[in-house]
Amino acid sequence: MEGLLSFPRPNLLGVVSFLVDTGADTSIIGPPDAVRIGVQEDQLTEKAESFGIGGKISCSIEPAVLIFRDDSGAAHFYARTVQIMPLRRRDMAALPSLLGRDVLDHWRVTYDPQVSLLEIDIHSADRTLKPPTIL
Amino acid sequence: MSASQLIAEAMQQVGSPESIRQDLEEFRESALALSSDHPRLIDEYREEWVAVHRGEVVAHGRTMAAVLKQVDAAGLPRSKIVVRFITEDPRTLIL
Repeated sequence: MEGLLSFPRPNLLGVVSFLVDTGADTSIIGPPDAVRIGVQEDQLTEKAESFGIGGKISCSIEPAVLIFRDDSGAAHFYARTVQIMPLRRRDMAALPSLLGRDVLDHWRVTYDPQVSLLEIDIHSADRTLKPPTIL
Repeated sequence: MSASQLIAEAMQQVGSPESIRQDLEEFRESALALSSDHPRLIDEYREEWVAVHRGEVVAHGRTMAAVLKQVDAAGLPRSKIVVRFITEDPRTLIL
């Protein structure tokens, strides 16, 4: 699931391919995406602990806006505090970004791997920007 | 910063719905190229990082830093490229 990720405070923006993860409480940005769009760990001061099957890790947290587009051309904006995985751990260097329930709870998600289907219906967003209407 | 302030700043960054569409479609093209070309990429770039832009491999190297350096040197937009580590070792992710 592709979306735009904006960090307004350091003024960073990039497209991210998210792995949809209904098991994740919050969305979390993987090292390849964070580094690519210019996140610098030294500038991230706030931390939060996350727990998973691999144990506990300390992630950075940062206010962000996630933006997704639907088939009508409308853009849907979600202001969220996202987590950022540690950027210098070799064992995490290639992990993907995860789209968690902080966003998924506002969608209806249909997953049917038999027909390679992942269908999203957007129920709500913090802000929706509709394309201009041609009269 | 409130949610509405964050969104207002993000809206300035991203521009119009049309520019959002272009950014996402360009990126999707590159992501699809990575998936469909994976067997060839394993042959050519095994255990390397690659950067794909508009469906083409534009940089590769042993480290992500080296790949991003090539991307920057070529003047390509980091925000629109896909960067992946190419390996044939299946990874089991339990996230």
